[in-house]
This record gives sequence, C-alpha cells and structure tokens, in this order.
Amino acid sequence: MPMESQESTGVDLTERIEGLLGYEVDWDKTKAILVFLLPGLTLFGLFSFGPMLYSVVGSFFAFDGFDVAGFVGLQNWEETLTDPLIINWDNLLAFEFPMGALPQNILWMILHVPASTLLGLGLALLFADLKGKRILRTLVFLGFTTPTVVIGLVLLFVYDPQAGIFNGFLRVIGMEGMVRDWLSRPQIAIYALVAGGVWVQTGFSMLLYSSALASIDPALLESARIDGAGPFKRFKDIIWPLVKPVTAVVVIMGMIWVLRIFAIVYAAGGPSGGPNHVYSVLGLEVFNSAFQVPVEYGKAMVVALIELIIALPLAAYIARME
Amino acid sequence: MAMTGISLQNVSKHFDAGETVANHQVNLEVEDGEFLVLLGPSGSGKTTTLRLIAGLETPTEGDIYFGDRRVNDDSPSDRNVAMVFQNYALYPHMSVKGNIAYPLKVRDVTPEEREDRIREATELLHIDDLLEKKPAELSGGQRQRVSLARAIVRKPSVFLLDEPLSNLDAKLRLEMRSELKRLQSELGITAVYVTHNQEEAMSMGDRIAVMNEGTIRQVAEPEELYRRPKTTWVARFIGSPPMNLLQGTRRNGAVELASGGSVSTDADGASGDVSLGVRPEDFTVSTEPPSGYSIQGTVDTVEPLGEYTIVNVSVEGRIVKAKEPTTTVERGDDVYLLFDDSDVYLYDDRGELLS
Amino acid sequence: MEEERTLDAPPETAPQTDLDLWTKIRYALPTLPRAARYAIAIGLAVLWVVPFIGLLMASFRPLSEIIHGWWHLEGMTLTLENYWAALDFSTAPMSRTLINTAIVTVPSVMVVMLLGAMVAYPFARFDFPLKKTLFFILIIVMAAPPELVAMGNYNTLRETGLFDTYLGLILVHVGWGIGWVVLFLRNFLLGLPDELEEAARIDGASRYQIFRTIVLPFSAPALVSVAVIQFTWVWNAFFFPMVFMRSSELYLAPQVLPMMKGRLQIDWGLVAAGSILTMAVPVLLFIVLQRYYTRGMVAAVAD
Repeated sequence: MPMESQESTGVDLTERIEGLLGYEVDWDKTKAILVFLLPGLTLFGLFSFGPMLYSVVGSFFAFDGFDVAGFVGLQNWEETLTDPLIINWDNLLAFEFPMGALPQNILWMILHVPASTLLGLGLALLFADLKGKRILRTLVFLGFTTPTVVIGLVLLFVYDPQAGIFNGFLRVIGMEGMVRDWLSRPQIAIYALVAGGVWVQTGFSMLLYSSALASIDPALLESARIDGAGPFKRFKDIIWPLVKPVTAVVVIMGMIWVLRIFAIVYAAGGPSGGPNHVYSVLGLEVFNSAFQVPVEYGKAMVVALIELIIALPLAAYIARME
Repeated sequence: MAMTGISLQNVSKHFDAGETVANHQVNLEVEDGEFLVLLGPSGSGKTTTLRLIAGLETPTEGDIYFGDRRVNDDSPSDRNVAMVFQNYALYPHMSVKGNIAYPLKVRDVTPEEREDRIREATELLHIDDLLEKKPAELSGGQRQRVSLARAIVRKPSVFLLDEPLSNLDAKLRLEMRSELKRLQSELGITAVYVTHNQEEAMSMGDRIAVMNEGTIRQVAEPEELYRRPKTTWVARFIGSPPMNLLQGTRRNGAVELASGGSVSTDADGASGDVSLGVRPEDFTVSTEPPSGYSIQGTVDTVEPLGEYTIVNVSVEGRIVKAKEPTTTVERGDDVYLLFDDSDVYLYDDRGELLS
Repeated sequence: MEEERTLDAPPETAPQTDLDLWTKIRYALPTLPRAARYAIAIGLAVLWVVPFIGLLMASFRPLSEIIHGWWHLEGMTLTLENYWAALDFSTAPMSRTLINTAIVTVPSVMVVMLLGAMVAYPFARFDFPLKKTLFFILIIVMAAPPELVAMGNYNTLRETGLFDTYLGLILVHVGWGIGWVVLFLRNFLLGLPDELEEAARIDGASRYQIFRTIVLPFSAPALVSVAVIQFTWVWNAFFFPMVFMRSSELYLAPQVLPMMKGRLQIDWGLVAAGSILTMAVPVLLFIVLQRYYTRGMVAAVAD
C-alpha cells in the first residue's frame, strides 16, 4: 500500500471518529493514555478479570476435567448448594459441626470481625500515649506480616496436647481437666482457630486505629478535659466520633481477610479442613473441587462465586468511599 | 533573541461543555517586548487568558497568534513560552540546579552550554550560592528567584507570570516588583503578568488590561487608566479608595444631582440618567459655602491614615469619600465637597464614559 | 549576643529548685495508674508474641525437649540441627525453596510497581472513556478472593505452556496485584500538584518525560510502600504456589511448610526452623521499612 493513501485514510479515520464523537480529540494525549494503560490493563485482563469472567460463565457449564463440556444451566449451583460439604442443613439446624464450609465461613466472620476490631481499638487506646508505643505496636503487629501458613502451623503448635503452651498454661492454673487436642475436637476446633485469626488481625485493626488516634488534635482532648469530661465521656464524645470512619474500613478489611482464609486452615487441618471438614472454609472447598481428585470445576467456580457474592457489597462500599 | 507579539482574536474558553464561560470574546494585542498586565478580581478570567496564551488550555473559539504564526494547536513547549506560577511549582525532588537545568535537559541542550546558561541565569538573579539546595530548604523569596531563573534560562520568546508575588510578604513584594521589571526590560522580552493587585499593575505594566466577568473592559497605559476609566466598573476598580459615583439626571447640558445642585457639562443636549464620578482625591472639604461646584453633606467619620486623611461624608444617606492631606473637620460638621468640573467623569445609564 | 540580652528577658531554663534525690525520682516515675497501664500494655504485647517466642525456641531445641514444653528452660540444649534438617528437607530443601520464592517475588514486585504506576497516572489525571467502569472492576478484584481466578489461570497457563514455571506464577501475581497497586498509587498521585506537570510541559517535557522525571520521583515514597507490602504478600502467598507449582524443584517455601509436619509425630523442631526461615525475610523487611509499610497499609485502605 502506498504511503499517501495510508496517511490519508489515517487522517480520514481520525476525522471520522471526531465526527462521531462530536468533539475534537487530542490524539497525542489519547496515544499517551493508551501507552500508559495498555501493558498493565492487559495483564490485569488476562490474569485477573478474564479468569473472573471465566468463572462466572463457567459456573453454568458442565466440565470434562478442566474443559467445558456443555451448558447445564443452574445444575452446578443446585448441586453445590445441596452439597453437605458446602451447606450441611441437618447439622446446621442442630448447630453441630461440620455444618459445611459456607456456614462455617460466615460463623468465622461473625466471631472474628467484632473481636479483632474491638481488641484492636482497645490496644490502640491503651498504647496511644505510652512511651515505647512503637515497639509495643510492632510486637502486636508482627503476626500480620508473617505468612499465614506459618500462623496455621503456630496454632497447631500452641494447641498441641503435649508440647502446646495453651495446654501447659491450663495445667499451671490447675485446669488439668480442660487439657485436650483443641484442633481435633470437632465441636470446638473452629473456635480455637478463630481465636488464632483474631490474634493475627488485631494487629491490623490496632494499626489503623492508632493512626486515626494520632491524627486527633490533642487540643480537642485538652479542651474536653477543661470542660470537665472524664475519660469515658472523652472517648464517647470526642475520640469515638473521630475514629468511627476507620471502623468501617477495619470491618470491611476484616471480612475480606476472613473470606480469603485458606492457608491457616490448610496448615492446621490439611486439605480437608480438620477431621471430617469441621473447620473447612469456602476457599478450601474451591481448592478441593478444582485441584484434588475428583476434579469438579463447575462446583469450584460456584463456590468461588459465592465468595464473590459475599464480597460484592464490600466492594460497592469501598467504591462509594472513593 | 526572538521577540514576539501576541494577538488574541475573539478568543472564548468554555469549561464543562459550555456550562462555565471562563473567557468571552477576548481581543488583545501584546506588542513585542511589552510588559502587559492582566488585572482583575478573582474569577475574572485573567488566569484562563494566561493559560490560553501558554497553551495549557486550547480556546473553544477564536485564534491566538504569536507574531504571524497561529498557535492554537501548538503545545506549550512548541510556543517557547516560560511561565512563573503563583506557588512557584518547583520540582520538589530536584535541587535548585536540577530545577533550572530541567527545561534545558528535556530540550537536549549540551551539558557545557547548560552550565553556561545556568551560571548566567543564577548570577542575574543572585542565587548562584543556592545551587545544591532542595526547594524545601529555601525561603519564599529564594524560591521565587529560582522559578524566575528556570523561566529565563532557556531564553523564551514570551514570559508569563501568574500572580508571582502574591505568596511573598509585603517588603519582599516591593523588592521583587522592581527586580522583575528590571529583569524584563534588560532581557527585552514580551511579558504577560496576571495580578489582582492594582498597585502592582500600575507600577509594573507598560499597559494594563482590566478584566471582569471573562472579558476585557479596557486596555490602557496606567496613567490613562486612572485618568480616563472607560466604564463605571473600571472607574471603581482602579484607585483607592474607589471613585465616588453620584446619581443624577442630565438635562439641557447640565446634570442635576439627586443629592441637590447641578453641574454644567460641555456635552450636547442629550438627556437621561447618568452617573457623575469624582475621585476622592479631587474633592476639597470646606465648611464655607463655596463659589464653584460642590455638594453638601455631614461628616460621618474621619479616618486619619498618616500620609493623608479620608473624610466620609454622608450625602442624602449615601457615603461620599474625600481624600485630604490634613483636615480639621469632625464628625457631625456640615461640610461642602468642592470639585473642579474638569475632574468630573460622566457615565451614561449603561456605565459607559460620556465625556 | 549575651551582652545584648536585656535584663528582663526570660531565663533560658526554668529555675532550679533544690530537690532531694527521692523527690526527683518520684517526679520522674509515672503515677500509679499510669504504671499499671504500662504493666498491662507490656504484658499484652508480650502475650501477643509468646507463640512466636515458642516457635523460635522450638527451632533451636531437639524434639525430645520440645515435647515437654519449650517453656521449660532447665537443662536446655541449643542446636542448629533443625535448621540443617530444614535446609536439607528431602521433599524440597529450604535452601532451594527460599531461592525459588525470591525468584518469583522480586520480579512480581518490580513489574507490578512499574505497570501499576503507569496505569495509576492516567486514572489520577486524565478523563477517558470507561474510566469509572474500569475503576469499579479494579475495586471488585481487590475485594474478591484469589480462588476466583485460579481456574481460569490454570487453564491459561496450561495452554500456553507456562504452567509449573516461574514466569507463569509471576504473571498471575502481577495480574492479581495490579488492582490494589493502581488504586493505591492513584490516591497518592491525586496529591501531585497540577502546576508541577504544567511547569514541566511548559519547560518542554513530553508526557513520557513528565512521567519519568516528575511523576515517578514524586511517587517514590508511595512506591516504596507498594514494594514492601507487595513483597510480603507475594512472598507469603500460599494458595497460588499450591495451585501453579507442581514440580518439587520449583516449590516455594510457604508451600513446603505443611509437608514438614510428617505423618505421625509432628517434628516441631523441623517445622519451627522452616517457619522461621520463611518468615524471617518479610518480618525483617517489615521491621526495617516499618514506616513505609504502616503508612502504605493505612493509606491503601483508609483513603
């Protein structure tokens, strides 16, 4: 193709686009924006958004191993929601473990999020005006930077009937009768693990609350003190209203964290999530369905989508904050 | 050095898809080597005009010429303009030297020439001892000088300044005012200077373009702007305290003031509502009934300001200001405000100057 | 200067009244309720790290002693045996898995920083079609669980031959991390003054020069935060390596730790030494660059 004609079609095209849009386009700027966006968004599309859409669509298809075999409508959804590994209705109504990964995951959230939030706020307040608060905070936060798989192993170690310090502590305070292998008792294991999760996440919420507390103008607290407000009133009338917005963030991040729990449970209880799946969570069931024999890709996608459905309101809330 | 006149022809700028009109039909000629000041209150569109000249905005309508060249579609760097920002816009991560070298670096000037030109610019502005410092370590005045050095180092054909002195304290502002003026005339460069400070405009500008509501109200030399404000708006904007405007009716070659008395004018016999403008400094306050033109009132307050005194006189419920070197009148005195008919400005009911 | 001071100028230090030693000490000590708060605070902080102290102790002691409680200190034997065993672990030696983890982590961090900053810049500065939609998609992915993308990526990597390779895992990490990095850097770049870019444009810089010489250096503190946080996340990641790394010579360190548990009696010494080796890198990085880590964490989620 001769150069001129290429040139002229190029001009033609840009003019035609401008005609369609109804305004002049700054082509230099457009090109620059594309150069900046394309590499990153391509990888994002290929390895994040694309696979996400694949899961959404794939949940309505039957799979032969890892390959799509045919449209089956809601069959995967029906099968998954009646699968006792996901929801065990009988046990759920009797409140007996295993209740299935979905109720167990939600139970974890209900216990974990308020506990870690309140503990974090408490520690942030406790440390706020002490000397050496940085060291104290670092100690509490350490668990959050540790690989979660290590956290799971540490919990296994802490709750060990022989070598675990938790049982050792019970012996020292004379509660010999309570000594047991906490993580293999079906009806209590999940609570022991939730406590471990709270142990880790408290550092995170403490960090956020600490920075919110640090940004409070001390003159406000001093003037409240001069006005005769006691510590409780000062907290209720000044500190709490100012750190309240952070609470929303702490709660949302806590929920996302619980939703993503995988390594802790895997390390403590293997791919089944404890004996007979008693503390299995959704992430673990995705892994089992997709990458353990027998492969059930459709089911894995449905379970992952259940997680997404729980996460969507959180995403909407974050988007509204922006 | 290439010198350039700037011409704006019917330039309009709309924002938000026409919701906001920042500039409306601006026409402006800036001559080669001229120091032109855009003066106006905030929101009058003067900064938008400057940004249109810089190429940071493209006009919605109209044309901009640098010399004979239409530059509407040229990028800021193609226009070879330099700009000094209100907050200086120094690159915080570069040293003073890095900042000044930056425009040369991106234009691929050789390192040797760069050194020469940086030395020249920094010596001219007396900042050759600050080269290795970071902007954060400098005082306001020093930052100002660095941003000026960065602007002149690459020998631009047009020099644009957006309220460059407004972040400095009063003393430094006076100092930099004369320094800027010296720099501009030494370099002989065309400069457009935006300010809301009329004193700055009067003292620096070769000509001043007064802007309001997105358009230019008057372009004139400082003296003429003060002597012959073309509209009541300009008249009240220039001068401190502003010009007094008295309502009246024109009839048979004379103006009858609402507050009593009349002034004869040499204008033709047209009639209608008019405003009579007298500058406070053109009044003389007297307790004796005068022979010439005067208006009568009661002293409301006296503000002695050292250099001069402002006498606020209540005339028919409205305050008229007079500026006197000294005065003996006190609150409550009945006084006459004398003026010469040659000091009177007459504006029609649309606010346009009549004579 | 001294002579110039007038007589009524205030003294430079408060007048020293003569206090006896005990009074001085009493003033220096915190009041009783405050001392109690210190005791509680230190007690809680120590309680929080007890499990890690146990892990550290166990990593240096023989199994026979750990079994009876690492907190029993009498007759303690210190040994590096557990570390040697972990570094030589038969399924996948830690000496290898730690290097594998670094091979995956370092490029994942570098690429995500560069590409993330490039995407964040237009998001912070320009308007373009679909900007709002793209933005919301980024947020959804930030809130979504990683399991959601595992199936699609598994098939993609298998089809392209990148399954069970360093590159495959790196690409997954980059694609997954770019969402939060873009959101984080966009928030930071919203604070970049317009005038700096305008000054650079007038100085003659192209948009790419502006990005390289103004935007990137300006973002340096935020980029360090991104680097530290992304490094710990990728290094600590467990799920992605479990899914995408199947050859034992490519195993990553976190992936191998559960395998060290063994079948019957858990060899706590081995598990502890492996855990300490794995967590040492992110924990040290956190301690050294704590300022950037915490600032980034707070900014990433609180803004």
